[in-house]
Amino acid sequence: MSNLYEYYDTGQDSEAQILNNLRWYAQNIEPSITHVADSVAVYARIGLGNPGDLTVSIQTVDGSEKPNGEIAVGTESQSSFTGSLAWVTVTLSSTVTLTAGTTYSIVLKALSGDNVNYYNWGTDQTSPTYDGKFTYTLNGGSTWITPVTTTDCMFREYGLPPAAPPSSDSYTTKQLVAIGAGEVWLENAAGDTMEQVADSLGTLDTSTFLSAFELYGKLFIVNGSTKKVLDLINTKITTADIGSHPPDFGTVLTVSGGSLASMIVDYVDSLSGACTIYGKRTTATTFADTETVTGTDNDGNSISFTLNDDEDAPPHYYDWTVYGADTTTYGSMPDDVTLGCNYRGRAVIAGNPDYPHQWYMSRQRNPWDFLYGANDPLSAVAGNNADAGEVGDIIRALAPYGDDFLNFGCANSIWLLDGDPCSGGSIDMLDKSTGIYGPKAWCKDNMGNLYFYGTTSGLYKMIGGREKPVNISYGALPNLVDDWAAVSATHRIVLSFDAKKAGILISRTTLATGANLNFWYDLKTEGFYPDTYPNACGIFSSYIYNSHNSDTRKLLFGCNDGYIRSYSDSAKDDDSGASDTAISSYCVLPLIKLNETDDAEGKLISLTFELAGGAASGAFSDTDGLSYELHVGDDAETVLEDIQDGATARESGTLTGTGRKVRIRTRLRGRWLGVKLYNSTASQTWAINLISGIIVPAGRIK
Amino acid sequence: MPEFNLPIKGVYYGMPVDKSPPMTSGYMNNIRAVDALEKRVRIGQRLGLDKVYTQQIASVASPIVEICSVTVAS
Repeated sequence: MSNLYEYYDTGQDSEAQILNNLRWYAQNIEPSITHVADSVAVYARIGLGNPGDLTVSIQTVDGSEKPNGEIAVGTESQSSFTGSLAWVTVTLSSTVTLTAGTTYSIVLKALSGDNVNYYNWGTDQTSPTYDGKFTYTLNGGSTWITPVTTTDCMFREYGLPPAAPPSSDSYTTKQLVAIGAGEVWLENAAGDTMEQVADSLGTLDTSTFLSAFELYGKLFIVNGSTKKVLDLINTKITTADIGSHPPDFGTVLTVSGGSLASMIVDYVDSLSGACTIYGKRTTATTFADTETVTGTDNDGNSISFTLNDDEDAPPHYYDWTVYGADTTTYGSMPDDVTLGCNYRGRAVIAGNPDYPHQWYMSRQRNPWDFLYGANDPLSAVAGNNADAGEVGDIIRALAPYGDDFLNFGCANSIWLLDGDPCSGGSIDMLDKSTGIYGPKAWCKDNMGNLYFYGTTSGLYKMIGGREKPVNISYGALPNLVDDWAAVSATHRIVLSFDAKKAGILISRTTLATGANLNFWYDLKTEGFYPDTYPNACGIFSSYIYNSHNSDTRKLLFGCNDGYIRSYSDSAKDDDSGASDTAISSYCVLPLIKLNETDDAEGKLISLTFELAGGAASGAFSDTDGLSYELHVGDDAETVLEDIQDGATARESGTLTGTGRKVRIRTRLRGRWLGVKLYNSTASQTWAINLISGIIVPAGRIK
Repeated sequence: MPEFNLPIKGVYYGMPVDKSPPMTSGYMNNIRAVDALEKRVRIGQRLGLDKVYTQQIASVASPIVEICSVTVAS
């Protein structure tokens, strides 16, 4: 049912007469609400004779508010009208959206009329109150008189609300940041391109360990003696003289005249003289050069300074110092740190080579305040200023768990800070049998369990992040630590949890070359699967990117050659830069005992493979081909050794196509059977559903 | 006709080869229990790695030492 939107239907005291084929009348309207017009009612009558159908149109107007183009039209038969004024509704042949605040014109004409066959349209020419204008043409729309406000015609305009799509669920955006070769790169707003942060060029030393963490719309980077901020939220303004009363953290600054811009101050780089101010602008209007900015500081003093440039929009890249670089009021940050994280809204830093057991936390909600030991629960705090105390080991990794607790992975032990160190928190040792190998040698799964590569014997799991660590690799990989022989000076170990694939990739990458050894730990099967990647793909960092762009919402790897990669559902090869590298995949089935009697052999007489994909094409994805080798021997270890050493197989072949393959007839005799499946062909991948065989006794071992 | 076990529980080096747990392998590389084609637990080649962005981070080929993100209100 249509709703009445624009109307003027009272006060009729006159008529616009002789409305015919050349003399058209028009009433301008300006909708107050955007809507979809579907009909117009007019208060009209037959003035004389038989004027034929009445045409009602809605038209756009030109700059003089004269009609200049029909956007919707309807006609009504003469039979609907009488010789007396009455309301007649004319349905538009097609609806039209009328935008609030835009002027349109309702135009009436009688194209079959003339000077003795015409309509009259009821008007108010005495005291019109509809806020539109009236105009007419005497030549069929070629020219219109200048619209006037002294007349309003009687009309009612009907329509429906515009279709209203639901609001987007998203009110945040994410931007990826990657750091390599001393540069910071930032994902563009569209989420499909990485761009260099120009100011970052050469500012970081990636030969020194570096870590970065997000806090309050900014990225904080610690890189030894260099500490930086990549600020994506604040507006930057500058002045040549901040005046005698600089703004405080959280001060509201405004421009009282001119732009009327306003911001909440986050950080200033100086408290006197020339100063750069970073703050969250809260107005649509922007700060402009020469404007005077005012405010009131926390002590009630008036702030006033003059801008010496237009504002700069984020991102910004600048040194991370205490507020205003005022170490008296805001304390001092350690000179040299390499570890950082966000815990309870505090910037936590550690890894000071001169004080390796120490941890430091900024004031809660204020990463610019490192005045330790102030007498309030939000105060900045360090290990030596807190009841919780320092950890008694060299800190090598920080693993925060929301607001609840923070794990310190140390060289030889694991410690846990429970709660806030300024508000009753405590630090306890969880385990002293192992430490965490390095800053990136840990990850959390989506159940909150913590996994880490220990300094003593491989992969550990801490249930919920706070139970005593349990080694989960020793059974399957007892020699992992010795085989990998990881040395922190030459290798990086990265643990990466992949939520989509439900597993953890444990990577050991050689710093100098990117050569790598990896195990995939599958959380479904709790099995370990060795992987190798091209050196270009050697993993130095990883990140579960919960992007707003579904194309990049995945586990990302920061690779040796400077590219960000991920597992691709369509990739059958590994991208290795300018080209692709075929994946050499192989596995040996659990060795098969051909006869249960120890001193007897068996004979494999038939072997059947069923490859993945069902029928060719169809609903299930088709496998490519694969090759197989059959090895037999008197003992299992010899069979496996032969396979690993590349000994010539007793039988081999290649399978192509999908589904069940033709049975392979064979006469392989032995005590143990080894079946190797493999494929190292470019642009191929494979999967297999089952392998079955017929084995018969074959007598004593000769 | 008896089925042969597929090594969906990965590698196992902790016991003699002839006494390894069922469904484990003594030798494999670039294999997943969850295959790349249908994400079913059977056995197959792992997924390949591909570039997520075409841009190479940094002006010269150099390892990406850190990745993270920043969230802002839109």
